[in-house]
Parts: sequence; structure tokens; C-alpha cells
Amino acid sequence: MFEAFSAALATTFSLEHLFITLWATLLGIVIGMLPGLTATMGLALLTTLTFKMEPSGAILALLCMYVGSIYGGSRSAIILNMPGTPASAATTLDGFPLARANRAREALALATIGSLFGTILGAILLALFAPVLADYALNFGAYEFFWLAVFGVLISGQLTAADDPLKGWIAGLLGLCLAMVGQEQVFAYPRFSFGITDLTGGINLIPAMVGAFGFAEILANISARNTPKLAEDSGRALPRLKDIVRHLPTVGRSGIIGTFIGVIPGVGEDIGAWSSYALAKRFSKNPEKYGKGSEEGLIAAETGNSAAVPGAIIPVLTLAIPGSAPSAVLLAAMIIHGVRPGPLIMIQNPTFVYEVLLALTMAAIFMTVYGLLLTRPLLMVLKVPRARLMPIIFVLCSVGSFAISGRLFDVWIMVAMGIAGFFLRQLRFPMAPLVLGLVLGQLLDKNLRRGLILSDGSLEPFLTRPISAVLVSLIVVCIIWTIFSAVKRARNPE
Amino acid sequence: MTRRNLDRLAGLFFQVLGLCVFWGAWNMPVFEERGASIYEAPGLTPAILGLALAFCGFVLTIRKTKDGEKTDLWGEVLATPGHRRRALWAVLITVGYGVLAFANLPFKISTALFVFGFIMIFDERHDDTPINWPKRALLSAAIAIVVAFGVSYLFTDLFLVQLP
Repeated sequence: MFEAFSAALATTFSLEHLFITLWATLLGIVIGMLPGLTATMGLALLTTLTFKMEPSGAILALLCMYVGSIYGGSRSAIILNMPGTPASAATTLDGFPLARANRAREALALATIGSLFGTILGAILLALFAPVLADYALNFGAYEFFWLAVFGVLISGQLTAADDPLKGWIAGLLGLCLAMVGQEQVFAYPRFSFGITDLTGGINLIPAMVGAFGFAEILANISARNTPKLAEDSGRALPRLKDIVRHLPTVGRSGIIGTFIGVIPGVGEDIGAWSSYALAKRFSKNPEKYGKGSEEGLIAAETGNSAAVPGAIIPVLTLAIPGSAPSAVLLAAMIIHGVRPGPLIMIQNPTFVYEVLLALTMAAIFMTVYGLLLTRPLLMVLKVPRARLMPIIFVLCSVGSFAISGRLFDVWIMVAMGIAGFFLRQLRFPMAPLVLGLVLGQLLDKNLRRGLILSDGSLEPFLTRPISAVLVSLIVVCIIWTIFSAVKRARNPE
Repeated sequence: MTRRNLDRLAGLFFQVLGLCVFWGAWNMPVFEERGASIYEAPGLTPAILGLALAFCGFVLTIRKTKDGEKTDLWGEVLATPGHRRRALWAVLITVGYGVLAFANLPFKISTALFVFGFIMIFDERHDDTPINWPKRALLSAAIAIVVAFGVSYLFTDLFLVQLP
């Protein structure tokens, strides 16, 4: 263990890796702060740009982009009242009122400190729980992986479409159906390929995600036509130490809840922020200030979404199941670069886990330096008109999709997924379960069939093995709860 | 169109899609001649997923929502005819570039034309003064040329990706 950690330490502090951390974190902040450019989109685009890099450098760049972009969303949430990424939606509630009260810089600094502590706390929890979870996951067989895939899609649909879980489930099922396209793994039979050679290889995850998150966002942004107004950049640039100390209990609570929300498959940073915010309000001595410029609310939201980043990476590393949409891209990028995440990672590649841990920590430190010292130049980016930025992003979406395997078909997939994603979002279908379905489809298919063969068609081991039984119980409770809530809502519309 | 009607339409679409997936899965070979078990059939999982999708689509069609009759679902982005027109133009120009121009024209030319056209159509005024078209065209052309050559250099020379 000590040798693996020393090796990771040496790699992280090499000049090349420090330089990657420097630019990738900054790029992440810029992408995250621009409304319309999400963390998922940034990661998907950067994956296409890091093909030629050596694996540890490429994964480092993606991790820094992930941390930077989730944090970057807070800049526009506070200054524009527009979350740069969905993860910063809760930040607008108290960040923008603070900015309007001529305390913009103070709000930005508090959000930075919240994000720093959130990421570090999440990284510590990752260090503590990833080996435990990986060890536990060694007991998982076909039955458990099947139910884990079902549970992931179900809970992702449930939580990302809290008002209407049915739409979340439909999005997840759509993603699972899309994952069935292409050659299956037992007989190499091309499913739903209609004689089209390109379809026999299946739907490539990166172009699909670039389309669903990038192109769809471009269409939504251009159609909406709302010109944002910037709040005045004023107030203290550095937070007072006593303010930081005062908010430490909120930071601790939000960091823990954010990390654990991040671990839940396909749920992600936005739910991490909302859950932390709701919990902080419940525990607050001044809940009436929430939504009107509460420092505590701002810190809770930012700590929660940043802590969800390491949280979402825990199942990626130990189960090869993404905790959020951006971490699904990260998982795909790891596989592209020859890293095999899963229960054996702590045995086969412990250095990699420590590299991830140190990368997250370094990204959080660089992010804090940028956030506290470069407030004014970073905010200049928000003044770039979106109509001039969006065509550039679309060009990168197209070239990035093409660059993966030099196929025009991937560009068409990106365009098709983008248009479908745009309309689905207008109909209030969430995108995260769709992407998770696309990622988990093969896992679900392989383990369902393997499990049925092992049990000779009996469903008993699917229901009676201890971990399977727990997962089935959670799934049943989740469905019954949703039906009960829907019936209750229908009976009492008010 | 109200939210409920759009939900019904979407539900109907997912029912048809789910049944199509089920039908496609049902017609897949079982490979019994190779001694394969029915549980190994390639169509097993898609058939279950197709049925589940059709069932969820059915529930979406028949269910009642508390504010479904009142709410206009298109309120968020496609609220007005102006917004819908912009969305249509955005779809046309991006699909034109991504599906047609990207494959059939040299990369630098197609990209420059796309960026130029996009900014000319969508760039916004921030006050009530009339649009200065020559100025906008000059700015659009400058950005288009920089993007076309910059992206081409980045991918072909630095990342060694052969562009169309």
C-alpha cells in the first residue's frame, strides 16, 4: 500500500502532471461557468482530445476538468443567477441574492471554500470507502450485478425526475434499449442493426453523450434567447477565517451527504447539492434566511455538489458503475485508455486509485487558487455572447465525435442523440438515466442471461442471495413509494 | 398544446417503440441448433425491456396529472413562435453542417461557412439600435476563419486526427 501511494505521489507531483492539473482545472472552471456547457459535455469533448496522451495524464486531465467544471458552475450561478451546470442550480438560491446585496466577491469566495472542503472531504471518504466497497464487491456475482444495474437505472430515474419519476424510468429504459443495439456478447448476433455495418458495433457512448448533453444544450440555449445580466462584482475577495470556522459544521454535514449521494448510481452532483441544501436548512438556526442570501445555504450547496464528485467516482472505481453522468464519461475514458475499473482494482492497480485521490486533491487546491485570485479575469468569460460561442462548441462536438474512430456515423449519432435529447428535455424527460441505461445495458444483459443459465432458469437465486435480496427490496420499496406518492398526488391535487 | 396532451402523445410513441423492440427481439434467433439454452437467447433482454417500455408508455398515456390540463409544456424554451423559429433554424443549420457539409466538403470550408452562417443568424443585439450588417459580417468572418484553421490545426497537426 505504501509503495503504491509513493508511486502515485511521484507521478502526481511530476512537472508534466502538475502542468496538466494547471490547465485542465482552469479549462474545467471556464467550461463549467459558461451556461450551456456542462461538466458532462466538457468531459466528453476532452476525452476526444486526450486520445493521444498517456493514460495517467489523460485521466488526470479529465478528473481536473470534472472538479473544475462542477465548481465553475457556481461563478455564473452567483453572478448571472444562471447555473453554469445543473449541479449549481441550488447555488443560485442564495448566491445571487448575496451578489445583488453588493457581496458578490464574498459569495464567490465562500462558494470556493465550500467547494474546496467538499472535494477534499469527498476524496478522504473515497480513500476510506473505495477499498472497503471493492473488497465487498468481490462477493458480487451475476445476480448481484444484474440487480445493481436495474437499481441504478431505477434510482437515477427516480431522483433526477423527482416530480415525475415515470419519465425518469422511461428515459432509463430508452437508454437500456439503445444499449441493446449492436453485437451481443454470447453469439455475436447483431441486434437491431438492420444490416447497417456501422450499427453492428453498437452506439458509441462518447458521441451519444456529446449529443445528449452538448448538442441538445446548444439547441436549448440558442432557442431560449435570454441575454444574461451580470451582477456587480463587489465585496470582499477573501473570506474571513471566523466565517469559515463558523460554517465548518455545515461543511462537514454537506460533504458527507454530498459524497454518499454521489455514490448512488446515476444520481449526481445536482441531487448532492439539493440534498445538502435541504439538510442544512433543516439544521439551521436561521432557516428563514435561506433563499434570501444565506451564507450557510450557499456553502451547503457548493460543498454538496463538489463532494458528490469523489462520491460518484467511488462506484466507477470499485464496481465500474457510474455515480453520475460526467462519471459515466470518465468510466468510458478509463476503458478507452486501458484502465479496468471494478472490484479487482485495489489488487491489480492500487497506484491508480491513489493517483485519482491525489488528482482530486490537487485539482481542488488549484481550483481554490484560481477561484480566489482570478475572480475578475474569469468573470470576463461570462461576457462572451453565446451565439458566438455555440457554433465553436458544435464544431468541437462534431470533430470530437468523428475523432474517436474516424467514422462519420459517430457524427450522425451525435446529431441524432442531440435532437432527440433536446425534445426529450422539453418534454421533461431527464437525460442522466438515459445515459446510465446506455452504460449499464450490456452489464444488465450479460448478467441476466448468465444468472439464468447458472440457475437453469430459476429466479430463486435472483431473490434469495443476501445482496440480491437487499437490492430487490430497495427496488420494490422504490416502486411502491412512487406509486403511493402518485396516487396521493392524484387524490389531493392541492 | 397542454402538458397532458403532449404526455399522451409521448406515451403513445413509447408504447409503439416498446412493442417494436419486443417484436424485433421475438424474431431474433434462439440458436437451439447450437445447443444453446433459451436463457441465452439474444432477444431475451431486449424483449423484457421492450415490454417494460411499452408498459411505462401506457401508464404515461392514461394517467392523470394535477396541473396537466393547465400547463403549456413548451413554456421553457419553445414558448413563443420566435423561439420556435430560432430552434428550427438552429436544428437546420447544425444538421446541415453535421450530416451534410462535414462529410461532403473540405473541413476548413464547411466549418468556416457554418460558423459564419450561425453567427450571422443568431448574434444578438443588446439595445434597440438597428443591426449593423457589414460589421456583423466582418466579425462573423473573422471568427469563422480563426475557428476553421484553429480546429483543423489542433486536430490534424497536434492530435494527428485525419479530418474529412
